[in-house]
Amino acid sequence: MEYALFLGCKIPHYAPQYETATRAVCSELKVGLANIEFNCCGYPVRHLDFDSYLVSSARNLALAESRNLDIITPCKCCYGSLKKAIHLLKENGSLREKINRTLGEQGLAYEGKNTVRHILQVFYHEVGTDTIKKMVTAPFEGLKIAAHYGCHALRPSNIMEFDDPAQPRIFDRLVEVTGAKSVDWPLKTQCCGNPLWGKNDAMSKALTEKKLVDAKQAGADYLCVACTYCQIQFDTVQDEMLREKGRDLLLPSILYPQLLGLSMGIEPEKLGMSDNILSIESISSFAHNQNHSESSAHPE
Amino acid sequence: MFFTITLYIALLIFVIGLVYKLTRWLSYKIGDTARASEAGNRFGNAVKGLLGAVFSARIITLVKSFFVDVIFQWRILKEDPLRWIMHICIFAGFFLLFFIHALDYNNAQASPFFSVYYSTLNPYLFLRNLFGLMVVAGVGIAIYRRVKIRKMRRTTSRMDWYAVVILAVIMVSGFFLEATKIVSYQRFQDMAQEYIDPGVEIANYQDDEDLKALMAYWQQNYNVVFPAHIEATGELLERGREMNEENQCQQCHSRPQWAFLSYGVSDIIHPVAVGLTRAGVATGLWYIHFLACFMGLAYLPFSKFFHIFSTPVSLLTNAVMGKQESTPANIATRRAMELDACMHCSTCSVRCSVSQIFDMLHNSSILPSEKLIALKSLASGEKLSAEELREMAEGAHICTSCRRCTDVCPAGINLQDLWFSIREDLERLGHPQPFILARETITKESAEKAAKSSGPIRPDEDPLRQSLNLSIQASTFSNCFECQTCTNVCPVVANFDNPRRELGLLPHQIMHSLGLGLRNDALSSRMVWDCVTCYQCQEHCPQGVQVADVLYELRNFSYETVHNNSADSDRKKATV
Repeated sequence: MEYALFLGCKIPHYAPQYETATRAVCSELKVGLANIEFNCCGYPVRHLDFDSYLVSSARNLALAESRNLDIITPCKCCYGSLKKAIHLLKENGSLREKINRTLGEQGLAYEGKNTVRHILQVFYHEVGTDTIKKMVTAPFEGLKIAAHYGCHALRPSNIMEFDDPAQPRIFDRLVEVTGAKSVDWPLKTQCCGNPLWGKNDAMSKALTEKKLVDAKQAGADYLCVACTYCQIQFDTVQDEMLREKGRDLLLPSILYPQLLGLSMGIEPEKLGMSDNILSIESISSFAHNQNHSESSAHPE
Repeated sequence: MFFTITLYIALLIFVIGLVYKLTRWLSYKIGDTARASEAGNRFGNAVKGLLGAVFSARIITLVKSFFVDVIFQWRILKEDPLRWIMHICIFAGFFLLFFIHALDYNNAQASPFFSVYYSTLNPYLFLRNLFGLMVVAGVGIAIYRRVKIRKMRRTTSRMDWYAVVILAVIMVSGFFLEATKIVSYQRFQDMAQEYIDPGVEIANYQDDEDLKALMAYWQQNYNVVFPAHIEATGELLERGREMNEENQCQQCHSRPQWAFLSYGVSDIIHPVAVGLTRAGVATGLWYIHFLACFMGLAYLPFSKFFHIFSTPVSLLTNAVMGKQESTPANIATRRAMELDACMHCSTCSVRCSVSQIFDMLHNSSILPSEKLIALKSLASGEKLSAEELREMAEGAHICTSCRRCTDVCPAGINLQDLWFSIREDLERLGHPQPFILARETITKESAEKAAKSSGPIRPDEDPLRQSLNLSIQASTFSNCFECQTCTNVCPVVANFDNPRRELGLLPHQIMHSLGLGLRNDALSSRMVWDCVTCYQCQEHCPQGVQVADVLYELRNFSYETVHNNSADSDRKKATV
């Protein structure tokens, strides 16, 4: 299977480890990734101007469509934007015409022939947990993960078609395939707060803090995310919050491909582990056989 | 005499221009860092920084960058091979022409680089045409690209055309000049009088067999066109060849065919050569040629060609400055310098992640290359109108800071740093990001209007309701039966002990206000702007009211209002 990899604007310079880890894991899982130079999905500009957002998403879809490819993306905000655009352009003929007029000036056209998938969907549905489980050679032991679903891939569910909005499961299942336990925590489908970052920082940080406290109270050792902005929020912004308040670390955040990759025995350097702002090195204490070797350190 | 005077005037203007530009590098203030107190003593810091880089391990980086980025121009090649060919042709062609031709302004011994130099001798004769051809080919490709590539065409400016035109004029006038000199019988006579006998008159060639022979030889082999065509026999030509040797003409004259392009042109103008010579066209072309060069020289610091100095500086500076902490003073100087290093090549705009938004909003400040030009105006202290500033702010914040422009800039400019600086400068001038501008403007205005309005509610007359047709048909507002589920699942509302006080109208109240046509009440609510777009409201609404999408549309509507008001007020000011 092959997809056009849509990284979005933030991964290359703000979360490069997400690309590194995704490519490493997809390579092992035989998920082919084609490289197209895409543009911004339009998510940030949607607050200002609707048409600007729609033409941005549509252009990406058209670019992938011209190579007969579906899009795969690691970012849930990009997923949400692109998926909504597909829906809108399918339902609304006059919108589609307007957008195609603009795209036509650059020799592009969008005909609604392709779709967009998030990496979690592809891992769960196309690859399958059975296949992945066979490749997990170093499952974690005693690791409790709070899987953060976030909001833009889940809702509105009739358009996103990602998972059950009230009782989502695919992320939990994918976490458990690595040997970690996915804890149940009340705020797991609540927004991380990133959409307000830069607009209302106080509110943004308040939402983030609530989530981290909730996850910690549920007994999690790590937060696991599968979205660029969520990672930026729980990593970079948490770091800023902690320094501001002089607090200890609440919960470090690991990206799902990093978690999966480690359990598949991929070397940490190939997963960009050192690029995370809040260190996730301690996850090695939950590694397979760590508890059984004679001179092992006690798990933290 | 005239030549020398105009040259010195051009040089003087050139030097003044250079100095003026360099002082701007030390004085322009761009971004918060440049206005900080530690940003003083720009010259001293610059010198210290330069010496520090040269006398350290970083000299290796500098040397490597010099050869890879400045001479070989790898960044351009990486971007587009055709563009690289174009630029190398112009760059190498022009510089080589400068050394072997331009510096030879007094002919022969005046040139500092060559001991035996005559412009009519090989290899100079051939090389001049070769290098000239390179420049012409490069300029040709440049024009083709500017016209053909849509993303370049739409931002092409006068400066871009000036650069191409001045080069074209210099080159074309040069080739035509050489061609007219090749065919010129007047030149033949002048040279014969100088080197053979001052009394030579080509009109009297019938009386002088030797002269006739030489003329026939030159007509045949050097493409001179005499007023009367000379019938040449084999014997005459043989005699002519001997004359060519005896008088040592060939010592300074390689066959003009070596000047292949000019020679080709001389063939083309053959039919009218005598008329051109009689009219002294060669002299006219000579004036055009060197005056165009001098004009180019004088205007250089103010034109795109200043980049021959500033772009290497940018490439070398950014090669070392990126890797370590720089002093605020040096950051300030670098930013000012970078404004001059931009060649308006449009690579950044062609690759920009949000360039398609320009197709919708038509604000050129969205495009990186145009942002830089706008920044030049801002930094120079030019008084920009409120609408121009609003457009700059819009462009600065629509940018997603993906840094692709910075990665691809062939001049090595730290563009992302400049974009952050624009945001800072505009904030200082009272132009925050569009989201905040709209939020502050609309909530305040709407609250004032809501307080003033009285009288019966007439929902059907409110045009806002009709316009919210992307997310909801107007009729579905009436579906809302105030169950308050949306408000109760909203994480933003849950963040407050007293949400009504902090946010104003809550989601279900906003929906109901819109249903009643109370537009200003709805828009005065802070909730519209603190919505975190998590879609919990829309997901849980039992009546299918698309709450989150409506809030998005309210933001879009607000921004459009602010945009139109700003454009209108500018237009009004312009007509007053």
